[in-house]
Amino acid sequence: MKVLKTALFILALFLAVIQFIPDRLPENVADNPGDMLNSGAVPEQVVAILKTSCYDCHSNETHFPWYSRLAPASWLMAKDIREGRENVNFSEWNGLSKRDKIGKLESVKEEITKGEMPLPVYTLIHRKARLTPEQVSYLAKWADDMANEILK
Amino acid sequence: MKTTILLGILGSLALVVFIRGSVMHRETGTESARLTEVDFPAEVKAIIDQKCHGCHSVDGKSKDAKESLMWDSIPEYPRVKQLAKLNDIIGVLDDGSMPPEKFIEMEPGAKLTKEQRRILKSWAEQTADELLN
Repeated sequence: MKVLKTALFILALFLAVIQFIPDRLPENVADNPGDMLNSGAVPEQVVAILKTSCYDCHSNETHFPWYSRLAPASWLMAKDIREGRENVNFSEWNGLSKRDKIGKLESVKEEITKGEMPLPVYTLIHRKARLTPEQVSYLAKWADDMANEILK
Repeated sequence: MKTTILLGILGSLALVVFIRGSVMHRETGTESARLTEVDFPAEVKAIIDQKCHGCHSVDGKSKDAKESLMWDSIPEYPRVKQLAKLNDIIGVLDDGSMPPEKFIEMEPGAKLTKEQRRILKSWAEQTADELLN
């Protein structure tokens, strides 16, 4: 019993201490005039999928859950969100070159088709973010169509 | 009776010729819309053969490398995919992530010289611009 108490105490102390290590969670931006969805050209069904399954990491509008401020969850999230925004940030879409837009849309198609996105660690907690096979083929087709549209 | 049969045969022949003709026409139509010339000038090809082809071709051993890029397949891709691949190529030339650090450690000769990097990059940028216009 004493051993258990000591172990719990050490664990609590450890958790308390790591809270002081900066998490580097990226900030949200409220106003995103360059957001892809502002154009109104994206079909509603796609908007819904993107918002539910992609926007937490691939936009400036992340929904931070309560545990996102707690280490060590915050570290993991900070890394994934940072990398996600770096690769594709739909909130800063309009500033991209045509070439970049096409490249990113083709990546969207590839990643979701291969099942590499959304990240399994994310869908494990966010069950609603999981894409059904129908959603995958719908989104992949939309991405490819939009890339071809940019080419015209 | 004979004339009707003859007319029938002639009619169906004409129909077959017409359908084949329009199908062929359509095929060549999509062909030209889909396949665009991605040319590899001798200078560019030499660099690719020497520095990239070992991994990014059918003979490559790394599945990852082959999934990411197969140089020889680029001319067959739809135009948007060609552009996406060229964009990726420009990206790795910019951030210096290719050839991979670990590979260069084993084979120092694999490193791209500044000049080779410049040649590949300007080829990729120019080709991408041509595809976009």
